This record gives sequence, C-alpha cells and structure tokens, in this order.
Amino acid sequence: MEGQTSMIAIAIAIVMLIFIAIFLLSSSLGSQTSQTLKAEYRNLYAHNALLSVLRTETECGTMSDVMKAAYFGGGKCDSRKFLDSRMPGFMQDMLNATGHTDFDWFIEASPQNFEGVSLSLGNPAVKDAKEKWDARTLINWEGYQLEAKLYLMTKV
Amino acid sequence: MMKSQAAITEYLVLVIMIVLIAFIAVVLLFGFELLNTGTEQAKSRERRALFTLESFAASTALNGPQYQKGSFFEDARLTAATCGDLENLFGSGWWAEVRVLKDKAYCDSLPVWRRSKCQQDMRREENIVCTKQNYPSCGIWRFCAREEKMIYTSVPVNVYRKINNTVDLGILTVGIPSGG
Repeated sequence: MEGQTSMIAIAIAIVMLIFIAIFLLSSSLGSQTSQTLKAEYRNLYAHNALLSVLRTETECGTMSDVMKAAYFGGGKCDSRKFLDSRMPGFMQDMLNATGHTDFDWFIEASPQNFEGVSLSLGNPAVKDAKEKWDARTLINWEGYQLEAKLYLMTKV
Repeated sequence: MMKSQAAITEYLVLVIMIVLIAFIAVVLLFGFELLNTGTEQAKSRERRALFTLESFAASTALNGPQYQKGSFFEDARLTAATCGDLENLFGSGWWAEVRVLKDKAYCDSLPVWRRSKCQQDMRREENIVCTKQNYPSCGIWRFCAREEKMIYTSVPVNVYRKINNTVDLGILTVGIPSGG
C-alpha cells in the first residue's frame, strides 16, 4: 500500500513536470515567433530607410547623387558639407515620423571595386554595437561602385 | 483494527492524490489554452500588420511603373485610389496613411526674407489631406476608416510628385484593429 502511495506521488511529480515543460516550451516558441516578426520588420524598415533616403531629392540632387559627388567630386553643391549639415536632421525627422525616436543610426559608403577610404555619417558606435541591424545597396558611378550601408540600433 | 484504519487512511490519501492530479491537469490545460489563444491572436495581428505594410509598399497599383523595387508611390496614383479599390487588393480591416515629409532644412538655405514663407508653405502642404480637388497642393493620403484601437506600423517610403517631377521622402503607416 505504501508502495502505491509513493508511486502516485511520483506520478503527480512527473505529470507536473511534463505540464511545466510543455508550458515553458510553448512560451519559448511563441517568443521566438515574435522575435522573427520583429526582425522581419526591422529588416524592412532599414532597407526602406536606406533606399528612401538615397532616392529623395534635394536642391543638390538626390541624396545618392550627393553621396557620389562627396566621394568622386563634382555635383551642384559642396556635397560633403551638405551631407554633414543636412543628413542628421533628415534622418532624425524620418525616425521621429515613424515613431522610432529611440533608434540611433550610422551610414557608411565604402568603395567596392577600387581602393579608397569610407565616407561615414552619423554615430560610428552603432556599427560596432552588438545589437544592430543593417541594410545595404550599391551606388554606381561610371564603372565604380560604392556600397552604401545603413546601420540602426536601439539607443541604450 | 489499527491495520484496517491505516489501510483506509492510505486509500483516502490515494483518492486525494488522484483528485489533485486531475485538478492540476485541468487548471494547467485551461491556463495554457487561454494564454496560448491570447498570444496567438497578438502574433496574428502583428503578422497581418506587417503583411499589409509589405503588400502596400510593393503594390503596383500605387507604385510608379518604372520603380520595380517598390515603396516609391506616385502621388497621382495615390490620389486616384480609393478605399474600395485597395480593399479589393489587400482585403478589409485596415487603415493606411501616406504622409510626405518635407525637408524643412531646405528653407534655411534660402535668403532670410524667404525662409519664413518657405517653412509655412511646407508645413501647410504636409498637413493637407489630398483629394482630387486640391491635388497636388497636399501631402497626406488616407485610406479606409480609422478605428479607435489599432496597432500601427510605419516605414519610410518615397512619394514621386508627378507634376513637379521631384521625389519626396514619405512615411507609410498601416493600422490594424487591435481587437481589445
């Protein structure tokens, strides 16, 4: 009889453990789906942000043209000065309008098929941050290619 | 006598334990199901919001034909589109807004006497909802009815101003009823 009682007690413990395991497993799977959705949104956001900024027209041409001119020379304005003075406000307005005031950003344009230094804008710490996400696109100019990369992270 | 009392007590303990197992199982199962349903609903709403946002951004009905990558809306197409047209494409139960975001720093590059008017004009244009009557002097396109409780997702896009032949930065926001 005592043996039976012990068996039942063990059964209770096993049933409880099984239920707790199922519960924890399903919670972790649920949170994984949420993380996947979040990552998908951040990827879409970063991609759209980079392309939209580069395609936007200013009095000096599109931002993409300004970036090319800042790197290769030419253009309608003092492109480097224009980027330094206008890009921060431009990016901040965009982040604010999409409700992401907590995002920090960094843009880097680096040569792909030739030697040269990179052109950078924004907070360089974002590039080295552990939790960041990015988007990239190519800017072509007379056979030369610049890779423009946008890094985003949540401010800490 | 003592032995049979002990046996009865053992049985009682056994019965209590079995009832306890059944009770715990029922409570855990119900709790688990309840929690799971709530989480699934929230995830499904998030998924739908993201899907609608992506569909909107990629829609050939709103994007100019020359922009294959999407997220490049043509203002004339946005003005011509109606909620009904877009519901045929994306289904019902959503609200969307495309808003032009003017680069106000541009006004700072103008002579001082023109700055104030430039900023006023930009602000005014940004806040006018587009209709067929006021197009193209407007900067907001809204589709379908906005509900009181919605979850919103936004991404940056471009708006091609056909008459001026310029490209502005814009924000696409999609709202899905939060069901709460």
